[in-house]
Amino acid sequence: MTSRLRSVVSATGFALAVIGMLASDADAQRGGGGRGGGGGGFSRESPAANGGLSSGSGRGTQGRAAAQDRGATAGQSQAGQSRAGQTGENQAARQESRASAQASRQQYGASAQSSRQEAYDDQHWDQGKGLAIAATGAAVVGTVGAVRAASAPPPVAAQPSEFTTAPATPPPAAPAAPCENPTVVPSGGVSYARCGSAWYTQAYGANGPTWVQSAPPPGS
Amino acid sequence: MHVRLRWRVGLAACLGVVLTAGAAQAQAAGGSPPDARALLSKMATLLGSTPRLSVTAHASYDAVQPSGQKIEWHEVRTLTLSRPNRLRMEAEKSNGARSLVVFDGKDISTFDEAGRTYAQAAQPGGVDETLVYFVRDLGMRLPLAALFVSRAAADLERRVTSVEYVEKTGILGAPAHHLAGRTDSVNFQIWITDGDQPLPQRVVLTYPNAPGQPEFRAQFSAWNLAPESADALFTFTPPAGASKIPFAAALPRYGAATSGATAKKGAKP
Repeated sequence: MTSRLRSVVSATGFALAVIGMLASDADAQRGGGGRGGGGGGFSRESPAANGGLSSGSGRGTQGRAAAQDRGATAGQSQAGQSRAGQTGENQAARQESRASAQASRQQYGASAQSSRQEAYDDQHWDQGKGLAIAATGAAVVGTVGAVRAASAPPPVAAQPSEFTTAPATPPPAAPAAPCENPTVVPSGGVSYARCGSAWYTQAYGANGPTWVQSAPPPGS
Repeated sequence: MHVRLRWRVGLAACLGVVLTAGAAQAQAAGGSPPDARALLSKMATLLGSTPRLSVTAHASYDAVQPSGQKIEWHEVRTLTLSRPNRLRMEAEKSNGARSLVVFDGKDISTFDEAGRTYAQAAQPGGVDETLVYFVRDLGMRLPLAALFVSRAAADLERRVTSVEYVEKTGILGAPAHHLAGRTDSVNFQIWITDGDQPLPQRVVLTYPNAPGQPEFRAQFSAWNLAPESADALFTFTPPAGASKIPFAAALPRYGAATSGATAKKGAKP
């Protein structure tokens, strides 16, 4: 009786272990998460992802900050000069002249800074600045997609003519909708998805298709 | 006296020969190294002036997680370009996501296999302008794009603040010059094939100002400077059932004025 009980317990334990392993394997195969994320919820975002010879987090940014600091220092210095001049004769005239000169210098400084920035961006075009525009400007909701991707249906097989090489890894799930059962509204050739009061549009970002929060479709 | 003079002359001649031979040996064994900047420029000139090329890059990069842990992501990219205005790139990420980028001289298109979606933008111009537009303005990824513009040599000359010769090595398969250099925000190492086709074998980029100092690495293989350049290779036909979606960078900023928020057009390479 005791040995039969032991056998039953052992068999149950073994079965549970096998089921656990299978479930874990299935999870691993489904993994990959959203297009901006990776398996296990790890992020793929990185300044190194762009493989650029310049980096937005590099000296360019520091240089811009330093230029702004220099501008601030110059402004403070000019303010100091203004204060010192308040005690002399023809104070109003001098102040007006200085204010005008200061405004002119500031305007020139801002314009020069803007020109320098544009020139820097032109020369360092591969620094990955566009990623920031895509990621922050359009409020990417890759995380939501990542959560939902695990339960998404398997993707349709690719047509062989699109790629010249065979895949090394089975493709991941297609990016899922931004929420459960969204209301999809086509407008102007673009599909909008409504989740509660928020609207989303699917768009192509640096890491592939993703859902981004958007304004409501025109006329809605 | 005469004999003594002969002795002295002979001794001086011997000493001269020995010193000269020693200096030559030192030069050969590890004397003054090759000019690193010249090697870099030669490589960039070759890449920038080759009418056609194709190459495969096994690349990886670090993504520093909020916990501080580094994760290394891998991808394989095959680039084919035919100057002045044709480009194709196939990419496969380590999670199996495959994508395609095709520039046919009029439009730049990118397709995602799993999502069966594609985005397309008009882009008249050459490969140079298109690479800049794709990377800078549309915010898309095309690592090491700076090596494939025709003005790569001039770009590197301007952007590389220092470059040094590390060593000559054959460890990657073919004899190569290992160089280490810096731009104003990136440290790089590059291994350039020795000989009359100075093509890059490997590149490592380090981002010292980014948290965790992540790296990007690429190992090049299958260089071909006369690849097939059939029009079909550079033509994108949307697959049946694929949906067209906009580029994210081209969408108006949500919550901001729509003007000025869309991707700027008219790349200035």
